[in-house]
Amino acid sequence: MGYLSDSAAVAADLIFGFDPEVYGIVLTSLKVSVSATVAASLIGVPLALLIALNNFWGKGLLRLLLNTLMALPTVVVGLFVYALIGRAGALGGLGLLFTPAGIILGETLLALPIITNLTLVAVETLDPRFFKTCRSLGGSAVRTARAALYEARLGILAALVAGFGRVVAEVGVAMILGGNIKGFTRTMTTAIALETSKGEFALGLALGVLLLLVALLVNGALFALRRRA
Amino acid sequence: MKGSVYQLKGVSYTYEGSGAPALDMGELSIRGGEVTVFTGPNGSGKSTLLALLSLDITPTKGELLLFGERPVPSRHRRRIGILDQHPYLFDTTVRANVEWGLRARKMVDGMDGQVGEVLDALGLSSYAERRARKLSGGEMQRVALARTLVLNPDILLLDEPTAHVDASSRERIESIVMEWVSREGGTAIVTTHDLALAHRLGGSAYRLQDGRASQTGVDNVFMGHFVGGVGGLFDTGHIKINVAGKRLGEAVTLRAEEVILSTHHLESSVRNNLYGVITDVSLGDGGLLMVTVDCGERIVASITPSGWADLGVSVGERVYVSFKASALRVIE
Repeated sequence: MGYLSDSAAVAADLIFGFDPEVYGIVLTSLKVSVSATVAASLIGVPLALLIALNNFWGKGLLRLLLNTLMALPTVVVGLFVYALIGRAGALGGLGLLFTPAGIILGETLLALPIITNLTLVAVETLDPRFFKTCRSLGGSAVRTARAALYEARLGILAALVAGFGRVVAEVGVAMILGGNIKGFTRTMTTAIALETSKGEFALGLALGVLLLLVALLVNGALFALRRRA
Repeated sequence: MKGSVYQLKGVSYTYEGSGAPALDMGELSIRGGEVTVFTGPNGSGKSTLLALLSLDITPTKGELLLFGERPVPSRHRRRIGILDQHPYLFDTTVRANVEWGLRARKMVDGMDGQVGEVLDALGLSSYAERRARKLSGGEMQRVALARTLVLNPDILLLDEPTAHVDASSRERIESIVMEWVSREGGTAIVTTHDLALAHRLGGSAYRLQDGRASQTGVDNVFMGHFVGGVGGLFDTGHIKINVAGKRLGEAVTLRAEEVILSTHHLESSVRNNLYGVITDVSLGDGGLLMVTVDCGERIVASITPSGWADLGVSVGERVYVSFKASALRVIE
């Protein structure tokens, strides 16, 4: 118990003393997670609109696939992308392995099914009168999609937050593809894993608190937006 | 626009997995440039009929013609405006809602003027920048009507347009629709369970029952109040009508075939006996004659041509009009 409370005291010092190493790790984590979330949104949101607003053969199957991929284990994504960008991989020449870009690629794939699926749900659960109204007013597919984006904006924002939450908190992809290189690819979660295995609880605890704080801030912002709407 | 706008030829519609058709219209023409009202209780087929007329569904049997041709939804929908009972308004301003269809159809030249005009006509000018969803039910209904009318449709389909709105919005919606029909030559098709609304809008009226339409729906609708606030005697302001039962309401209806015309006062148990001048005789459904008698209120009676011949009277002459107190229906 005393050991834990000593660690907590050191952790508080690290946080409130604005320790450069701690905040450097936080910054790396945020850069990587935000980039991956943005990339996954740029692909996932239009993809979800495309699926939601069209009827085609195999739509049900695609939904099942997306649902399944939401539960994709991070280490499996790490493994696949490692095979792709590792030296012997198809994209090995790009030198992405053990770089932030490598982590971003893996985490984009991790967030993509979540963002796509939750956006799809947000659009499909719009009031059925929405689609009828767009049709009767002469809305083209593109205009209807744009309107759907706006009308379902809170649900879509929640999808983005869920995607961000998934990538900022994951450790498998960042560890396998980033390599946990100090000052370069060390993220909050990989640092916590490393420090814990070394028996250094203080730094891990500080990062854990800051990780929760990030989650709180992001979700608080979403909550505030919902209340305003 | 005169002539038939819609022609239904043996049209029926059966929902998938259901044995009986929800709608079985037979032969029906809906004339342009006037109001056509379909009344009927819930489940009588009103929504299915509107879905057919708005080209959302196609008949499972028979053929529906629009402007004399088989409709192509992508092309013909532009000519049809729809006002729902509970319209969906976009979560934006009143103005943006009204502009939505114009922008979608790339009709942005002179848009500000058109939008201003229609907002003004519907008493919404001061609401233009307000959020549409923060308005009252009646105001939202007016926004939806403005959004539809600004697109200049040929046909307006209205589903219970004033069921959930306040009296002032209701009056404005009704008068705008009437004006649109008379000034622009538009074709309005209204479904409602409100017989009084059907009466106020005038035009052709059909009654829907179990998916079938008959043109005897609202021959006689009297607006007024029950004397003393109890059932029994209904005062229209011009005549007093004996009504069986204790129900109260703002209107009573009477089917034309329940009305008896005679040249002498009938000595009978019939509670309502009036006297008036014949103002019109026209041919109704099934070869019957529709005789209008002005007794202080206009009352329409349907009689057979031979009955009319036996009566031996003509327009301008006076007749007795009788109907039973139990023939009247009270509309709340």
